[in-house]
Amino acid sequence: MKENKSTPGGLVLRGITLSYIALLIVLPVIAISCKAFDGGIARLWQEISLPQALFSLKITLILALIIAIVNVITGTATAWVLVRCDFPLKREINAIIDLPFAIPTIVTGIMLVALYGPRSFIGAFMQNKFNIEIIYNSPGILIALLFVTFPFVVRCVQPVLQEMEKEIEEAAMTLGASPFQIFTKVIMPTLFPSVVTGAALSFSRALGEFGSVVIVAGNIPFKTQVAAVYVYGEIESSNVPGATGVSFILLVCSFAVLLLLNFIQYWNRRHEER
Amino acid sequence: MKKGDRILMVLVLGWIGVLVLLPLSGIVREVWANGLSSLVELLGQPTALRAFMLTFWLTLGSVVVNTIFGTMLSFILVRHSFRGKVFLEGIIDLPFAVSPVIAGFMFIILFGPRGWIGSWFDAQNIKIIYAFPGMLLATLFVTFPFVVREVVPVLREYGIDQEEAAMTLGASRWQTFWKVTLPSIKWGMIYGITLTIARAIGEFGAVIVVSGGIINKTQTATLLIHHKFMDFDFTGACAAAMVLAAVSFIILIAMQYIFSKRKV
Amino acid sequence: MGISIQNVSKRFGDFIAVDGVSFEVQTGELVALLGPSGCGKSTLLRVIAGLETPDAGAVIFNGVNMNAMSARQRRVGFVFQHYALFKHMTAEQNIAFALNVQKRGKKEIAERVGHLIDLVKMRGYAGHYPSQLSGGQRQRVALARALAAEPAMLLLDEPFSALDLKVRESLVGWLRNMHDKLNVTSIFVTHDQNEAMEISDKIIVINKGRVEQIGAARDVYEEPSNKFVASFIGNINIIDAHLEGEAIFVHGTQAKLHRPAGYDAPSGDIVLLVRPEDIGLQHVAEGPHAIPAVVTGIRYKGSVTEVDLQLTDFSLTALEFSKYIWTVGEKVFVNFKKYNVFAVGDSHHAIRRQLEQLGYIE
Repeated sequence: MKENKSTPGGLVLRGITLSYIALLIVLPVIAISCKAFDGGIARLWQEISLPQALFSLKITLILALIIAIVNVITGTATAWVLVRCDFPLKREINAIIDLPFAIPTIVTGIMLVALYGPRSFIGAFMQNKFNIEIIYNSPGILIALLFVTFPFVVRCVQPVLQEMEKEIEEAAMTLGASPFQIFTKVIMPTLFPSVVTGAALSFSRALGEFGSVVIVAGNIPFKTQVAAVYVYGEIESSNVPGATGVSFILLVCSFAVLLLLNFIQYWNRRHEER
Repeated sequence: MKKGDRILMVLVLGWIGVLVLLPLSGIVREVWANGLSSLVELLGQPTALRAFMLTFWLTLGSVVVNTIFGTMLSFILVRHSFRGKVFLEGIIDLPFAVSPVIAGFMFIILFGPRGWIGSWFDAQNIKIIYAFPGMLLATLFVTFPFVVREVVPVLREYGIDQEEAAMTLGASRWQTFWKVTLPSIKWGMIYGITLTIARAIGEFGAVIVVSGGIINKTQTATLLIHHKFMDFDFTGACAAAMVLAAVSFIILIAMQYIFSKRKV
Repeated sequence: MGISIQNVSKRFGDFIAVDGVSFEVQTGELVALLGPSGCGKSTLLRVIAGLETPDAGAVIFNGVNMNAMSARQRRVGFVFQHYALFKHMTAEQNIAFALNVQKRGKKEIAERVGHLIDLVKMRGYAGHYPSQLSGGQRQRVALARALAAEPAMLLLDEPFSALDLKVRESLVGWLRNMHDKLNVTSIFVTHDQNEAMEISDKIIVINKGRVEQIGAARDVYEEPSNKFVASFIGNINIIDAHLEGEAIFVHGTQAKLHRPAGYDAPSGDIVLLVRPEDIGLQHVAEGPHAIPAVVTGIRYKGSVTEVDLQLTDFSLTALEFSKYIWTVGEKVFVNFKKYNVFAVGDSHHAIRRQLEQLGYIE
């Protein structure tokens, strides 16, 4: 594609925009990465090896993984129902799916405390009957994370499912495939890239979630302190090395996921040339 | 509808109901329990009002700056070709991969009194972090991708033909841009702006780190909610949350409407 | 496998797509379902395949009623209009699909797939993905895939409509060859009468969900059973005339033609349908019933020349095979070497309007 002569600016345009990006996006990331290595690799390793830090990273990764897996199942099922089934209020329910995207994370936290907190109907019930604490405990975090990551897989899979020609399934049917075989051999392979994309986005989001978790889970070290909350704690106590260390690890994980996503997009384009 | 689909449908609707709709009811009930008095009381507090105003200004700033730069970036991505363009495309998604707390922290490191850039500003006695500029930067960071990502596909699909036609009919570059290009990417832009607004209003992690949460000075609506919650003023927190939830709802409805327009 | 369609009907809401259609297909025949867009032919094909359930009537394969059987059970090979190839599988894998589903042995599958790839001349492209193949190649893969499971019958839904003209022309003949080689009963749907006439053993003309005529290409072309078929197949000139006893008087001329043998309707207004190639052009009048005309348009098409003629009350288009060079304004005399006669009837104008809308007549 040649440069379009009808767009004003040209090089000036490119210069200004790229400077903006460099200043706003690239530089801050470089800055924090460098800061993480301020005391050398040894210092970095020391900080992230602290039991509290390690725990926060471990619990964050495990939770994010669980979230991604659960979302793959619920998200794909939801997309399926939205595309293939008809029911009253379908348009409204389709709109509701985006609610977690539109609502501030801290409002999510407040809502969940109001609903499942110790003074609420459900919270008190669960506490007395099953001795399960929802808020200030892992169940609460899971619910919060499930809420904020819910739309990702759905919205990734939905358009692909919609675009799928009915004829493909009919062809498989005339060739003798059972409904199960059609799903596993024809539908799933087609959906696979979008499912993985959605899962990766869920994972990435769950990794860094703060606003809802800080309300719902509190900040109990070794119990409910996820990595983002740990970093926040370290910033508040002005422990820069501690904060940068764990931040760096989180960034590395997130970027790995980002790379995976871009790779999937690229690989997918190979199959969709025409 | 096949039987299997029907069972699935019930399960999915149940899941959506419990996961998404139920929490909404919690907050409505809380506010309703105290009547609308908590809401009225909240709106009467000057601190609360200032918090909402601050959120408003941050949102406005983010929208204006990121729409301009986002649109310019879209043109570069779609119309120009140069080495490293793929790299650029990857960078755009970067804010999605960074936890908000880390985002805020990055700006403290870079723009703080001892940061690479911040030290210069500090010498001029200009406060970046723990002040509005820092908060704006953080909000710009987290809202950066939206407009670009929405305009790029629309621009790509729209193609260059109409602009070339306009040129043969005698329009200058600027005229072409205003009269032909801009109207065609309008809905993509508006959708991106809607997403930007939603994100800016809801931003918490980055802003709490970068602002220091100084009441009446650097406290946004989300920080207000957090503060009230920590202060055990749960009712107040719910009231403020309710306001933001209502705004989010309006945005959600706008999103659906605009989304359908986008697909022309 | 012989197919018997008995009084099949199918509606979608208020729209009646197929209305009481009946016909027979003999084992090994290649039959064309021909009709304009929206006439219900594709729906009919899908009913035969089991992809749609008829509201009434029966689909019978070799004496067995198929109504209760699903598409999967009917062992029908179906080739879709846009091929419906599995995009995430190579050509080879697509073709092997039916065999994989049946869990046949690896060696058996490889052998059969190899045989089919050679049959459709895709050797060398077996490992390509659909996105890497041309339209014609995708078409051949779709056919091979449908044949892999050795179906008792082959159904093709507008198999050539999505292809370029030249590719289409070569594939049409290729399909006939393939059919002759495999001798599998086949039904294909098309709106292109040339395709239908060129390769089918039998044409079933369908309009608005109903069968208009069934017959070999020659029968349908030379002896159309009604005005729709006459106008839809090939080009036709429609002339108003009057039947009086044994004589036909063409309006606006001195012509007097004979009532055709076998036409038994009483005297009255009629329509004459004359094929362009059945119009004879002479430079001098032959007989008192020769019809004078003036040449108003000439289209040279290489092997034939289309000549537009203006008579007193109406215009005609004739097809001339001699290499004589006509000039506009030239006077000429017209006679009809062959014509079909139909009563005017109620549907006359409706049919005319329909054909005008479809663009088949001016």
